[in-house]
Amino acid sequence: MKSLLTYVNGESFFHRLHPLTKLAWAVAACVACFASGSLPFVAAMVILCILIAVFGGIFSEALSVLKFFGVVAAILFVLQIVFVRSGIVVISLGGFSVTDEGLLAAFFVSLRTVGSLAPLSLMIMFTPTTALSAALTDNLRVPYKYTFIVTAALRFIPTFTDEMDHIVQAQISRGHAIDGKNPVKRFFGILPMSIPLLVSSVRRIDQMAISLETRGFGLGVRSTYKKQSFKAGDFIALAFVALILVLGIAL
Amino acid sequence: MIEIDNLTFQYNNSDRPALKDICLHVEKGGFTGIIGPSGAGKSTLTYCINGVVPHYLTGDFYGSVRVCGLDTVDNGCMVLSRHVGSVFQDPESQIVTSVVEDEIAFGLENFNTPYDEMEKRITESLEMADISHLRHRDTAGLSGGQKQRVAIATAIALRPEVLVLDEPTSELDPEGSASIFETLSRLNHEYGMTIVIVEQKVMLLSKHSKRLIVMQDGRIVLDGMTREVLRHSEKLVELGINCPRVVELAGKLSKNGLYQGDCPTDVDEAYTMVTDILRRQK
Repeated sequence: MKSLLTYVNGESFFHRLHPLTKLAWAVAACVACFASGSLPFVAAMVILCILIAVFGGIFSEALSVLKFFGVVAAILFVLQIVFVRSGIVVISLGGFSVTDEGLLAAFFVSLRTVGSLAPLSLMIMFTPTTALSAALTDNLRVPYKYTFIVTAALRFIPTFTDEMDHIVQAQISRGHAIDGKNPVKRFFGILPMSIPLLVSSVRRIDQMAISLETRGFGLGVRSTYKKQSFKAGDFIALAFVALILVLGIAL
Repeated sequence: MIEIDNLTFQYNNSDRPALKDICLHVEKGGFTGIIGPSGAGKSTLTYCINGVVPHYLTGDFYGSVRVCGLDTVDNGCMVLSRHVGSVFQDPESQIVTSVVEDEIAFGLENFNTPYDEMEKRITESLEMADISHLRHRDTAGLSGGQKQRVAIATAIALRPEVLVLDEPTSELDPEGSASIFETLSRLNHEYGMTIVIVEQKVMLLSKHSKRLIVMQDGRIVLDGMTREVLRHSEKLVELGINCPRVVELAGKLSKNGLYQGDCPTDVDEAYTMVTDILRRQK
């Protein structure tokens, strides 16, 4: 199973940007989407994300992340329609009605969710985690131990999803029913399997600690293999990021 | 290079020692194989060489272990890691980064290796482990065997004086395992790297190792030149070690007084052994 949120190898313009430029964009886009009161602006941000994914050559990978956000956005959409009762009734079905303000708020909230989360996920897909942690350590002076935590956490996501897959398959093969339509039943079906996952994860992490010790982790001064410098493209991109931030707050 | 004297070690939360009164001296440039049934203490012995015991896995430690002149009780894993490279059983949990080349760079970065040197060593160790084509691959998408090769490349890149490996070919096919052993032999011959390896594939191991150690129940029961040790084929079978057929055959022949020479380690040698006996019978 290909996991979400991992680095996708490539040579595009976005891949080559400095990790901090991409991080700045992710943070700025997130802030801008929340600060902005303009629906067209937020929609434009979502479209921008899709365009970046397409031109970065990672659209198919990004699509699976987008699907996940789609589900979250859809839930929020429904909640807004149900709970915003003011405004003119547009659609009326039996005792239930949808108002224009409700629809507007629903569009806004779901687009805002996608628009603020998507840049961060795209950043992770465009940036090797080691490059990101190297940039954080070298440029922002974040202690290496902390950036390593992030690197290691991202590294273990695919391991754990694989492990969970194995456990689930082993249980299904023994007749444990978890693939029902009912989400509540599914949840309670999967719940007991989190215990073996936890146990094996702890064991894995223990092993990894041993491996780290024997490879000189924490010896002191360390060099970085993936050191990057800011190039012309980064300054153009950063100017664009600043523009987004200003527009987001202004609109 | 490695001097282990009267070592007895018992893990915390265990009611019996994992290692009992081990004495083992390995000279520089040695290629030592360790075999034995599971639970014999093979992995624990490797942990004693790289300092994981007693620093990370703790317990009652008696006796002394000196590696490259450093006492493992006084010097932690990190100090020892400058001299000892380690490859562990489970390749999955040894990989700490998401991309193959970063994984190899990781150890080098910790040792503050300059960029040019890193570049050189990464390329070189990838070539040695025969995985140059995987350089930019995502580590999560690799097969078990490929991960084992990455783990080996990672250890080689640090150019340790001693390389300790715990079943490094368990997830590789026969051909892949053979090529790993070729690489280890090369490191041993060309760089004089001292190699200590725990391995289940006795036939393959005995083809490359100069010395063979058999462990049982925390003790060293046989220790000597590979061919010498293989002569005790009955003992090996008794211990439940997956003994090569040719070794078993030679053992039976010499038991009946038909063969006195060195123990063969592959089919060709066994063929010579059998034809010699047949010729003499005529």
